Amino acid sequence: MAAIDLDWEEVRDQLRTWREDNTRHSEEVVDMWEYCLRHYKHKLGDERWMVEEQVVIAGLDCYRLDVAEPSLVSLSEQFTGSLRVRKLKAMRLEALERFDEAIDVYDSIIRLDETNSTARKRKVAVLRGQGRIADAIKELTEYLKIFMSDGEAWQELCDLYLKEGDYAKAAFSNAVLNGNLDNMEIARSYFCQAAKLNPGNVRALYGLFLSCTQVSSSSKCSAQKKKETQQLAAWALKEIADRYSKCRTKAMDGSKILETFGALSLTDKA
Amino acid sequence: MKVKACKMSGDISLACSTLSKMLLHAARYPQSSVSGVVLAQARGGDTTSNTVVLVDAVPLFHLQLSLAPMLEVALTQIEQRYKSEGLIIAGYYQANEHIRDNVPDFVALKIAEKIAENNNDSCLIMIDNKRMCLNLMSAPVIVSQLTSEGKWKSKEKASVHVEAGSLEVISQLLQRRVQHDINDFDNHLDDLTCDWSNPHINKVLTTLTAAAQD
Repeated sequence: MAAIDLDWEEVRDQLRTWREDNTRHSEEVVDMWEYCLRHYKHKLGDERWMVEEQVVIAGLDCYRLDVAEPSLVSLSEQFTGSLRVRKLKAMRLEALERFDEAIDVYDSIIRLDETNSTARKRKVAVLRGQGRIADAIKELTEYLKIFMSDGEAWQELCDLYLKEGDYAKAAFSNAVLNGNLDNMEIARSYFCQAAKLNPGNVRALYGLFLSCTQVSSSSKCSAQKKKETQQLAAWALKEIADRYSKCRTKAMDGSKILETFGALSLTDKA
Repeated sequence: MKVKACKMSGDISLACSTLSKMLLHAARYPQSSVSGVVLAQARGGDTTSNTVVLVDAVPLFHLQLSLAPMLEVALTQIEQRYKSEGLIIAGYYQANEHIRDNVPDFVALKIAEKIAENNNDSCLIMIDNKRMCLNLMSAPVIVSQLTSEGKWKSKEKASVHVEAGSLEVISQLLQRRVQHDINDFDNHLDDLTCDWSNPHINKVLTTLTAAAQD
């Protein structure tokens, strides 16, 4: 937290990286702004406004309105009438739980600019923030009819369906991303994909192992498919054990993995 | 740790370690729901005490709480790991994503029930988000157990005990932002060197608790 010791240029660069990666580091952004960068804001040139915007969002995220509001004021003065700034004002209303007012502002943005996807997505966020999951799903489905290639939105929809306990629809949303419709097989293909894309991904390997185990123990599974799936499961388990061995982690060592989970694959699940 | 023998159906006692890890986990991911399990000594022949002592907690997830495969992997690993110490999984905790929402959802109920299949005294602990703060005056948790009719009933405040000095210790941890050091199972899956048993946190707790007793 002693950001004051950091070179202001390093701080600026760090904030830039986080903007480019679109990752959430709200607490750190607030600290770095408060204890360092705000004293150098006049040295930031054009970048200043993106930083101020980042600070508003980070401040709102941490409920540090004392940090967010001054930056919001600066942005309003610099970009009068901007819809981008208007969105930030609506986000402030969200933070204050003035949800209906926030929605009004987002609606006003959408009226002025029908292609504005962020305002539409924020509306979904507001509904989620209010606990109105069914309404959020409705709004998001409408959004996806227009912006159907928005991967992040499909993910969010999947998330919302899972919150509602609607596993079938969640699987469907996931399937849209993966092009396959059988429920358990979706899980398998999802994990297969993830394992292929990132062979180091243990989560994917575990998922693959377990979904294979389930598929192969299903009564609907043909003998041929059963054999293939079991082989895939065995491969996944071995990969997992290898990863643990390489790590020499105390939590679980490689040989134990084979022992513990090997037993699972032999059990026929009802 | 003193344990009171109780005639009434079970008091619950939370060790400092248990409450700390639950709250640190919740504090680390304020924008998400989090979940985990709590551990207790396996019941031996000792029937004199009706108090369930929850000695530790293992944080599980902050990403998708309801993925069955990951949960299965986690529970299996945890059972294996703590078997040698005579500990069993004795309950489930969850903090919902919404600050005012402290009601167990479909996922929480399902998982807690699954755990209860092996252990009648199982607890379902919901973290009361709005009572989380940097200077804890009370434990921000709602603890429930199954009634004989199979319904989750929350315990009276008087039946839920917390190890002496815990609230001060946890407040200090939160003030020092120690939550950034806690590991859950999701972290472990992304990086196998992350130890979900959090020995480093145990160390900090021992130090702070000892200092408090001086």
